[in-house]
Amino acid sequence: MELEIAAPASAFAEVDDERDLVERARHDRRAFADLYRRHYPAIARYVLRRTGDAHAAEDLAADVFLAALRGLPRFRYRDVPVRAWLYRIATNGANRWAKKRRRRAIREWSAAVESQARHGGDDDSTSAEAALTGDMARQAMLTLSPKHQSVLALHYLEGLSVAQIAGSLGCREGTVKSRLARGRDALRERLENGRTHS
Amino acid sequence: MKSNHDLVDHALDLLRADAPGGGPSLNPQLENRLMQRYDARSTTPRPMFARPAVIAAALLAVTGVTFATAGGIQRIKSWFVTVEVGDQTVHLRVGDNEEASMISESDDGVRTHVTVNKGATEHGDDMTKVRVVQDRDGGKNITESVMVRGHGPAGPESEYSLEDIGDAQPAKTWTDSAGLMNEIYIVPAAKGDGAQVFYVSAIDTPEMRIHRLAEPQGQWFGEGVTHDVSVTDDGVITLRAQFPDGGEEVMKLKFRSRTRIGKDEPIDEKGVRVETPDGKVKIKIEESVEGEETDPD
Repeated sequence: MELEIAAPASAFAEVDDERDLVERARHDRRAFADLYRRHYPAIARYVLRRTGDAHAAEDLAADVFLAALRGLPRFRYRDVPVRAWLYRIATNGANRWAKKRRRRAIREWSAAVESQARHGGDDDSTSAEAALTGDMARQAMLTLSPKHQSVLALHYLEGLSVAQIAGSLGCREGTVKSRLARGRDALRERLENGRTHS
Repeated sequence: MKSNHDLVDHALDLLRADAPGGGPSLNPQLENRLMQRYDARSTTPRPMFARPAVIAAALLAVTGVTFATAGGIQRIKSWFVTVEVGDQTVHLRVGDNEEASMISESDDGVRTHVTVNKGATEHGDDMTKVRVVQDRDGGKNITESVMVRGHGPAGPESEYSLEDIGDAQPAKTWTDSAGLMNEIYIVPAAKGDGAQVFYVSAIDTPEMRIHRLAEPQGQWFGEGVTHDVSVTDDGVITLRAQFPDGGEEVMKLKFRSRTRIGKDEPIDEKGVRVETPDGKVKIKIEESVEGEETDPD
């Protein structure tokens, strides 16, 4: 299957002054506050979409910026936006959260599928699409392996390109493409059949 | 009619549109907390040898300290362990038959757990085991190094035999630079779901030896688990187990065979150095003998 790499609008807007801002943030608290205000909404939205849990997302987002504060003295600006680095920290945190949560997610998804089948669900794909809710979509997503969840979320929800994801996660573009394809296949399998291979 | 592809896109559209609570806004409490941390970071002096920015938790676990309780000056032997993780350095100290360990977490979420064990083989030779476990997205990298050094003539080199391997097929066979054939076997652990990794060196020669390199834990023999073994020219053996859920565990092992040294020469005079194959963790172990005053009673 030809993989579609049609992402929404870029999440990495060009920020001309970012390099300067990073340098100043090492010793100027106001500059660090600017960095926080500039990137917090996007990072918090990403972890909220990953978890669907406002409290967990708040904790994860806080962890990202505390880690960034610790890591700032060693951060070297090499034409990789600060947000790519923050996405990487956020992805690691969200993946750890998802890994702990996955068994429960699989059980919940199975129960939801059985319940739907008992209440007269049919296998017509049009009906399936109409019956799909945001909560169910998230439940299905949370049953996938964390590495598939992360690339699907970064690409389709946050709008990062394959190259940007590869830069953020520190892997090859081919790896990202492969995970996107496998992640889509796994998500389709969940949505179609409610299968829960783990 | 809608296609399956559309169902996946529809689910992703729902997730993209879904921002509980109207989407995140700035968090003033977090900003205050960050600023307090920022100010504390700017004013707190740091120890010269370890910057706490990276070392989130350092644990020194020392057990089994033994020395005479008689009065006077007691000389004890200890080992200084220098661990470099990235650009950070931490010093640990470990005595004979003791274990020291530390855990660090880098800002990109990689947890590194280093354990150094100083002990002795059943033949009384000095043995140093170094284990580095790097936890990262989707898997673990484990580097394990075992060094055995002893005085006097060589004793039995191996405690294992072909019976320990049973009828398993080799996971890897290769010929080294000396023209000797070597094999790696991965066999189920005697107990539990883990595995035992055996290294058979110099096959079909009188020097053939069987070493147990590692005992990885976890379901290495579950349904759908695959193994892959590779060996570099400098003797680093990489074991990779891939699990059905997409996760993987990678172990990098380097085995150094017994070194015989003269009877009166100090062991580890030059220290022991271990480095992970990616070069991000370096460990140096040096011997130190020093005076220690003990309580006369």
